[in-house]
Amino acid sequence: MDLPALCMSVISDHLKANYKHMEEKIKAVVYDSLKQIAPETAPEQLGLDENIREALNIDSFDALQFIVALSEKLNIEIPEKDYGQTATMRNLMAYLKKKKQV
Amino acid sequence: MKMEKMTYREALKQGIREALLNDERVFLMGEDVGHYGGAFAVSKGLLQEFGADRIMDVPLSESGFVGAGVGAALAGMKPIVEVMTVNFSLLAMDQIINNAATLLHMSGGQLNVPLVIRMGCGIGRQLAAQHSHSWEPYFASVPGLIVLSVGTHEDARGMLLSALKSPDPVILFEYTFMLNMDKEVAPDAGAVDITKAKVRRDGKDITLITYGNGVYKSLEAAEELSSQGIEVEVIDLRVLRPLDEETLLASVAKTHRALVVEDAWRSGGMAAEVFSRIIEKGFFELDAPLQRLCGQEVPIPYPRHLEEASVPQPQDIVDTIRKMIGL
Amino acid sequence: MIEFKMPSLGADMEDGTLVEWRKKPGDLINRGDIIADVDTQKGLIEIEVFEEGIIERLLLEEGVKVPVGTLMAVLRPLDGETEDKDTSSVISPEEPEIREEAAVKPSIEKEERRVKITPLAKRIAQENKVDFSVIEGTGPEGAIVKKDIEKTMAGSAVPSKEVVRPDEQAKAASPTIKKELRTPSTKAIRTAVAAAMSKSNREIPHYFLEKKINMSNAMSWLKEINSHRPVQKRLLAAALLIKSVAASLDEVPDLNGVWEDELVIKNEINIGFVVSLRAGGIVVPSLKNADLKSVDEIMEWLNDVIPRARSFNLRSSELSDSTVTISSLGEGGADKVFGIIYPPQVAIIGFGNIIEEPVAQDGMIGIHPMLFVTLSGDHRATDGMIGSRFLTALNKHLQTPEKLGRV
Repeated sequence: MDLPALCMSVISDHLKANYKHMEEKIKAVVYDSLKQIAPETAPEQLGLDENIREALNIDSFDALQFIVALSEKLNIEIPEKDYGQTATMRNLMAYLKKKKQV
Repeated sequence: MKMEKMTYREALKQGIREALLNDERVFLMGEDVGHYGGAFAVSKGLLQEFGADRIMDVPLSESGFVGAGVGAALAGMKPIVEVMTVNFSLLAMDQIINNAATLLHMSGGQLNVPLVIRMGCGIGRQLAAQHSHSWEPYFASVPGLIVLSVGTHEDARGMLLSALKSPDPVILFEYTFMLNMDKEVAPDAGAVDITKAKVRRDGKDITLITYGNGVYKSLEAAEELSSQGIEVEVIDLRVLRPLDEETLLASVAKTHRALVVEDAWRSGGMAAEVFSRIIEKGFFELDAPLQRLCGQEVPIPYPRHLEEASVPQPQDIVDTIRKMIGL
Repeated sequence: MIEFKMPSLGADMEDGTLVEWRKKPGDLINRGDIIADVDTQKGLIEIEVFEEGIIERLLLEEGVKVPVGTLMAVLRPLDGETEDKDTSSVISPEEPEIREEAAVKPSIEKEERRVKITPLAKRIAQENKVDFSVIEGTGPEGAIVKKDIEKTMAGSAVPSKEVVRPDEQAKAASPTIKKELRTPSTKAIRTAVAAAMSKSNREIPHYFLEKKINMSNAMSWLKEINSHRPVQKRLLAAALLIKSVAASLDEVPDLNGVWEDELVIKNEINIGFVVSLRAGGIVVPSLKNADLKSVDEIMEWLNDVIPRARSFNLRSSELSDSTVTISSLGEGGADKVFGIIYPPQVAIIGFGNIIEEPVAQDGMIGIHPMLFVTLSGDHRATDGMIGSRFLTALNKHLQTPEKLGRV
């Protein structure tokens, strides 16, 4: 392997690791925040396309607390119009990753 | 220490004798104290031993011989004046209160009256109403007097000696009822503390405050109650004036209940004064209403059973205390 | 003297356990100070005092459970006056009925029996914070004597009223029980809800009204407001709904009150807001003077009180004195909720789902977010006409949210 390729590979690995790390971090924040609101549930077991609020029985007040927690912990702004993009784990993760530019 | 059994009368006599032996300024004067040996035989034989200068029979004039006693005291003698019973002392009240008790004040502190007046007091020998009353409270209300009550043989033996040390007039109440009573007394028993009340028996459940004839009756009742599990603290006031509040309050602070037993009439008796002091200074220690057992408010009757019924008896004390404890 | 009694934190509360005194005799109490922690079926509650004074005596021992209304402490007023302060502070002269009721109160208290107790027993009781008013005396004339106090302290007294003592074990482990007490068992909450709701269903003849309210204006207004706000400051529809209820009650006051053999209309509008617990059961904190609060203030209140309600961390005043109740299911759940009135109140408002529906309006069909509102009224206190007027007023207010938001 020549040097530039080697460099690329190392950088790519690094980026991949970093990417992986960020994703894990976001997921941890999401689970953590949900746990805080619904301590008796196991958010890790949520299906990717399950409606989070319905599955975990979260009311509108707690939903707002959840958004507040995500905003604060990930240091992002989540406008109200985007609430629709936070319904399932799949689109929530996608939305948050986009916000964090991962 | 070897104790010696003697009567209350004998103890009184030995006290007088010792006083006469100790100090040549001491002399005894009173009705029939010499040749007759005392109306109650307290001074029997003393005339023979000490002579007519020191054992003086006087005319039947209480005002006169008590006044002579006051004069002798003013002149530097240490007179012991015997008033046969407290009932006759009313005749000498002017000398006792207006002179003996007041001269120190009237002379601006120049004239002490070191006079001791002994009086027979209370019931005991079917002598009826004019010879049997208990008027300690009358005297105990007079400033200028020291009023002592001889409630035990120990005090009969030693209280006179203490009284003679006082620079001011002392009224010494002796009890006819106890004259023939035998008790153990230390042969060398002497002067007693006449500034304090005496705790005659320790107890934790109730304070029984008494004096004079009440002392032995109270101790008897306390003994009976002890067998029932009630520990009575018996306090012999000893000094009716000035009252030793400290001892009373300390005891009430321990037991939280108090009963006064006295032969004197209920209204204005010693109990009234003792209770006032307790309420004034020990109110928050009280766990039961104060109670008193006093003489019935009648002239003391002649028949023995009525005479006995007119003053508190040990059984009355036992009953009252059981009630106060809540049994 | 100001008497401080075990407060009632709702019709379902019968007794409370004093867990801890926060103040001691001689302490100065200011209005609103917390005097004690009391364990109730609703958890450990911080009890406040709404009078000013100096604590004269604490009459209850920590760990003792007593019925509502039991004298717990005596305060000495600062200015020496003994007049009941309630009479002057909140009741306006336009409400002669209520004023009369308040004025009667002190004289009733004065009639309390005089307790016969010896000076010593009283002193010991006070030193040990024993409530001797509930002890049966064994002394002369039935007086309480030292022994009775000592027995009570040792836990073996035969009380004339219900005085339940904690077992010694629980007492020894005091710091830990406090923590455990903070979270009442699901069963305890269930029992409390059951008691209140059964009483309501048994005694209150309910009538039910329902109205569909077009929330287009309200939702647009909220959306507009929230778009300018960071997430922490955003409003929930609930805040606006509470505000609209307060405004409507101002117009239809008959629903804001209590039933005490007759309708007693309350001057203050204190809205109980039902907070459901995840494990089941409800807690109903009270928003005091809701009509005087802005929507933002109401939202702040919700943000503050809901988490505390769910962690059983409310103060006594936050649970008491509601004059009406709101039950709001929030979006996504059932469409309608028909509430059971919380006695002695006379109405409960139920907010259901907000769902988009085709609506005919001005001859046109449009899609609008519609809110299902219900009203359960006490038919002894009011009739359907009053309820209807209320729902109409509510609709009117929700069509002009900007006006509600102005205050």
